[in-house]
Amino acid sequence: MIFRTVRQWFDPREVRSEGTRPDYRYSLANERTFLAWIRTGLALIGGGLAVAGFLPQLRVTHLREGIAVVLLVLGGAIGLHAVDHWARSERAMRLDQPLPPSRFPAVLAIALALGALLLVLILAVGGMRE
Amino acid sequence: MTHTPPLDGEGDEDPDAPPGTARLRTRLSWRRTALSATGVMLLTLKTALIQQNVAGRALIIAVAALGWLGLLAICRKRIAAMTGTPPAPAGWSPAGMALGIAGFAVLGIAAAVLP
Repeated sequence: MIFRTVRQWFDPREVRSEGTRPDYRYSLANERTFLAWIRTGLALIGGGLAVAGFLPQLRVTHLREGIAVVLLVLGGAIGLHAVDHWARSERAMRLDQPLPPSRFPAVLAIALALGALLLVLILAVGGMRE
Repeated sequence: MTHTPPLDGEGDEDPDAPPGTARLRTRLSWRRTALSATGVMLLTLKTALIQQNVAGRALIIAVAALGWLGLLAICRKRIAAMTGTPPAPAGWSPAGMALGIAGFAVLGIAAAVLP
């Protein structure tokens, strides 16, 4: 199952053997959505790198590295989610089925909001080392 | 009166819109993504400079530069493949981009965590 999914990412010939080809503008719209997710992932990776490279050391040991790693992992996960969602949407359009639903945007939004709140708290209690 | 609503609210799928804007917007989207990847590559280089280990630093810089060139090549190839009518399917370009992004995440973790 997982193997088949990953194979579809790389070899969409299998997807192209199913259903009929949709209007290319739909496919291009799907591609732009994919690219928007990729840029979101890149932004989080950039944020993680900026935390690691520019933020001064915090009072709690390794907190800075922890924040950076969480942002970087999230950025990489968004990239993989993006290609998976792109492939599934492409398949759904070919088969004239509803686009696949996803909880990912909601989960990501909540995770980012909580993370931002946590950072504000850290700054408010003076987490920076003097 | 029937009117087909645009696909994504930006109007180019409107039958009255000038033809070809979907393709143009997708091409620009690939260019924006290439630009974002360049920013991430530069940040990776900056983060690699905090590494004490000279060999590790050189390795991260080399892999980041190669990965960036790879992502640029994918963007360029996809943009070139979009000129036909109808445009060629995206093929493996999305998977390549996603793997490149995941690779940059791993590289970033190495740059941030290794002493």
